[in-house]
Amino acid sequence: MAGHRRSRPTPLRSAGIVLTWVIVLSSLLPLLWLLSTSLKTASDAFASPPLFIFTPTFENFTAVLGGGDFLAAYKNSIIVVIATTALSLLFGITAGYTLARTTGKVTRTMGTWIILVRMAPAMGFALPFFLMFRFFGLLDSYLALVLVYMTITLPFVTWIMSGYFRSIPVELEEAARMDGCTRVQALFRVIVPSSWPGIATCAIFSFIMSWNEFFYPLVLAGRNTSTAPVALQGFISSTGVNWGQLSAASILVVLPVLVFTIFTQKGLVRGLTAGAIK
Amino acid sequence: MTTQLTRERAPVPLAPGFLKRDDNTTWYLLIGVPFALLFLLTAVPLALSLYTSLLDWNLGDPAGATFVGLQNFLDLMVDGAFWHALLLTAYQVIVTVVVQVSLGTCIALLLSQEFKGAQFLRSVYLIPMMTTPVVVGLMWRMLFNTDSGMVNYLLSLVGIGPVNWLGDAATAMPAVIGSDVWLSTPFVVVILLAGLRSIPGEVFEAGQVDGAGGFRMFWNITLPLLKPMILLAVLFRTMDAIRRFDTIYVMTGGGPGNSTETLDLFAYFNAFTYLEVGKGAAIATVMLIIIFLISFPILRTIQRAN
Repeated sequence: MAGHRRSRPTPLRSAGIVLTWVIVLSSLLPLLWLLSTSLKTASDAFASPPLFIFTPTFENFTAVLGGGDFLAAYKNSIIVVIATTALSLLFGITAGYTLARTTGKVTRTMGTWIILVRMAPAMGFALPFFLMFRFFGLLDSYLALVLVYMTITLPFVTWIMSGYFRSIPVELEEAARMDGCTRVQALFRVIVPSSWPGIATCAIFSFIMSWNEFFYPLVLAGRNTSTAPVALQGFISSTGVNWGQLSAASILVVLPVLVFTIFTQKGLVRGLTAGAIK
Repeated sequence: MTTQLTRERAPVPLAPGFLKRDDNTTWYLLIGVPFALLFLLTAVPLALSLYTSLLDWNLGDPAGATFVGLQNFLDLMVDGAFWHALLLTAYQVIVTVVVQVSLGTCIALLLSQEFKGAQFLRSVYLIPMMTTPVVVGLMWRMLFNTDSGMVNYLLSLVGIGPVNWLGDAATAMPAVIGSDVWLSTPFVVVILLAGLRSIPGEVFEAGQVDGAGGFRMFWNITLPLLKPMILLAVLFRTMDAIRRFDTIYVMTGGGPGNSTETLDLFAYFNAFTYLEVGKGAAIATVMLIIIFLISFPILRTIQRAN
């Protein structure tokens, strides 16, 4: 597609380029408005008409971080997300590797099931998970959240990694096998170290997917394990919404996601299209 | 379609010559453990959900559960609130997907041009899609605020009076749909950009030689070649729109009244607010069937198009 339109600059083409800039940059305005609200005093945030010029203040951020509740939820999010990502990578790599290197019926069937899970609607699982974890006394535990998050991240990592391993020449591990490595050793000493771009993409994806999750922790987490997205509701009370603090907390929630997105956009696009086209 | 689908080399059959016999066990372990884990985490809850849908069970009722067969489903069939949620979901899904896919196609065509800064814009446009959905919902709740919201301010500039977006049953759903157009159109664009890139340039050159103009090129060449990717985008967006929860929950909570209470919220309130878990499970089962019935024909069409 690249070359064929580079041709002569016509007025129509220039208008198209301007339009593209306008559309894409204006899609960022809501987030910029969120950022500006987070830097406003309570009265400035509520001003009507909206204030464009104001003296920025960090009082919302200090209030959010000083409150303790949100910070605790943020810490919960980090713990659950890192545990989920680590386990998804471990299992996704082993399962993806098997799918890439075998044609056996049993492994194929298992692989199909792992990938089908991706399609499942959360609502169908939230209720039975709630009942099961309630039965086992696991409600409001990190373990419950990690297990449930893995139903989202593990299929994804498996799929992406199996595609990635297919692009790695088999000769690499054959050589390692000749040198006396077992199959598992060959995987972790030779294949894994040479697949780090794929692994990094998967790590970032499973980080973002589990970090953004709201529905499962809303149902399954309690006071001790509430995650940051759920804790945002704490800034909404029956008397009204504390927009300044809510915006500050929201900025803190999207910050890691945006940083990862900006630094890894190429891998993200590859992962998204690969994940969608299957 | 992409390199992910074409295998660079044929996969090695189980236990080729250079492997020892016992290596099959290793394979089964490598995939068996993650499989067993996911199977336990999906098949068991699914079975439990199906079973629960056959029970009359209120978690707050000390009497516990009674087996009632298909009674929950029969009750749903005559439940006005259920039909309201179902129709509302259909309306939400259709409008969302149509707007996103047509808008996404236009933006993808614009972004597929090569010009200075195009790569930068393609990266920047990923940001909305990755933003935490709850934050997106809360952010749009702020933007749609009647008194201090940015949307009403912009409308006031062209003389349109303050609209009580989220507090009026007539405007709440359009506002909710608008927030998702912001959030998920970039996903459609990413898919279609990948599709556009896979169309060889010669196809367009041939079109130019034949004297096809811009619109005819799009209609007769680009669109048919892009069809499998468009269908794929429709499939993914439809399934996601059916189970959309986070943004609606924090924007309107299903209100005002039940004017934005789609199936997912209806199921949630029944199961976790009124604790009618039997009814909640029945609604979830209906949703599962709907998702299957919708995605199956789309998948078939995609396979045929390939």
